[in-house]
Amino acid sequence: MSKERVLDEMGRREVDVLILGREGNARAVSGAHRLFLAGERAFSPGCVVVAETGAVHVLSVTDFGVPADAHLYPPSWNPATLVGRVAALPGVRSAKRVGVDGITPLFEALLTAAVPDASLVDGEAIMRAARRIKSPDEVDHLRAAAAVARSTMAVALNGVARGLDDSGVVALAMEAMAAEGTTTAAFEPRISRAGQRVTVAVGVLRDGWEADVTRTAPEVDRPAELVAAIARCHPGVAVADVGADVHGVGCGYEALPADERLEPGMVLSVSVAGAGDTVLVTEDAPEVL
Amino acid sequence: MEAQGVDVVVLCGENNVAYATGHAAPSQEPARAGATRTVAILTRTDVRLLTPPPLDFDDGVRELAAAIGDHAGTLAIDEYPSMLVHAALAPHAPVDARPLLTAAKFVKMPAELDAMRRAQRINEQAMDDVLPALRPGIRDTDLSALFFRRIFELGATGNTVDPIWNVLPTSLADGPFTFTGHLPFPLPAVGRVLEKGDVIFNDAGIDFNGWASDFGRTWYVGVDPDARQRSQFRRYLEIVEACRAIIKPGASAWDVAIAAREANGGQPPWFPHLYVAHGIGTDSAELPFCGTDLGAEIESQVIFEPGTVLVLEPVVWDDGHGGYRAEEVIVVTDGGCELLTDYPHAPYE
Repeated sequence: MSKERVLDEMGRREVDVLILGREGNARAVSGAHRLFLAGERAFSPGCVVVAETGAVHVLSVTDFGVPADAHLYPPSWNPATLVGRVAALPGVRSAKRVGVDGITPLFEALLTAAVPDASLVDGEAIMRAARRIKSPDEVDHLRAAAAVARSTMAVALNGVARGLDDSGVVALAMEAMAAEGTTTAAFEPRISRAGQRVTVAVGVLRDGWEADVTRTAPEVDRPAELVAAIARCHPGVAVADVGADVHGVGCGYEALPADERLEPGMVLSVSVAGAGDTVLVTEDAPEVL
Repeated sequence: MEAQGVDVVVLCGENNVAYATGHAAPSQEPARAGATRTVAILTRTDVRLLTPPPLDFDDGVRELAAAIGDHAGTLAIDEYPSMLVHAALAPHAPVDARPLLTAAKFVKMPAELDAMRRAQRINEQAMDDVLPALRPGIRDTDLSALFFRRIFELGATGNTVDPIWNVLPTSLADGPFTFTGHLPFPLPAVGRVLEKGDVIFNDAGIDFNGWASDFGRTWYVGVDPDARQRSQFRRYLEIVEACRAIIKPGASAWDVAIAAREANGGQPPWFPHLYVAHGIGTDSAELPFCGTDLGAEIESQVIFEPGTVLVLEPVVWDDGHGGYRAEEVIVVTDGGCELLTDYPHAPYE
């Protein structure tokens, strides 16, 4: 869990309170497993981290799926009531700098009224810094997700080989993913066809952790371009110099700027030439998860 | 836009973009959806779509700001994806786009209702194909697997909610902690093996070209319902009938809560952290909400019109004996309302 790293980053950037709307951020800092809903959602205060107390507060009507060291606050359909509950958490009302990972006009008005001395600052930068390096435990989660992605891909490619149409392949792959106990996709399988070549991309979210794999049938081995790109995933290399589409993976998709330098412990989705893998950057050779 | 004096609307929320432009995003986890989002910029005469680099960084924000340019007049925005976007748009002094969006979305057009019907049919057929697999020994996630297979075979463009197969305790005291003292519905599937006699509240929703469905029923594992459960179902139907009798143009969201409560002997037949009914459209839950903690004063001001769509989801609960819950999608018509849901309440009918 990245709570300690989040508190370190908050200290470094002098942020008193972090109010998070993005589910991946809430998941990363709290470990809470709330019901998965696909799609982008507008900011709403779903998780609060307070520097002064070191406490993580999670919005939930129940403690089911919420680790015992996280605190709960109850939901409301009234945004003013909800902000009132957030402001009442110990250490929030006196905050000077409040980090948020997004905002809406309504929550901006309510938060600035409820926490009157605070300025709202970029909280996503804190979460990005705290989440980019994965701990060994987190790598284990990603490795387990990668195993589900791999077996889901095998079923999808089998469907392609049998001549199924796109929706038939998606149906089989999603069924196979869920049959392994993972009922949430990072994205639903994507299929593109160019003549005899069929490219399939699979992404799973297992226990909230993502892994992706892309292959092009009929030649399902890694193409030389991907092998070369993965081989460039060394500490110190800039994302732009990997020579592939690259983003981070963790509790979902992690955007990386082109000039970001790789470090050991970063986990990347690397794809090029119709193929892609989830890759762990290490001190030595990169490891394909 | 005209009624509210807005000249430019910037939409960053995918369900708002789908509503306003028809551009439906693929179904994916929230962070990916956010990083790859398509933004819509609407003037009163023009729609522009752009898919900038992630709006957490300067290059994406610059591209968005450049596309908005120096439009004159009042600019409204639904959400700021990051504080960088907030800073970049501050010179425009944006107003909240939510009031105009909720006003527009409140009434569904015939083509929108057709898409919602199609989503509902796919959802219902898929659940009907899952039902025969419901027997002792199957895992909740296996039911999700069957459901996924069928929705995509039947033409769904995405799944939107991790399918729910919530096994109920018979008494609230046996369930997990909640702030309300009621059940913590909905809980996600966790690979639980279903046992004979288990009672399940299920709930699923899919996407068809940007439009949402909603399905909910109570299922019994390997047994027929007993006399007590049959009476719970009868009470459920009475509550639904009481609500349907008052849902018409001019009725308010709060009227539905009152009707449901009266049909349940004065006790609210819904989870206190939720509602007895919610709207649905490009969002799986949107205005109107009936019976929430917004309360009588606010919900009384939400007045139905022909084309307003509601999902009724009363919960009958006899503590110590479990309960019954299902969902009925309803559209307000000129003279009353009609069901969009077209699925029986197995095993009763």
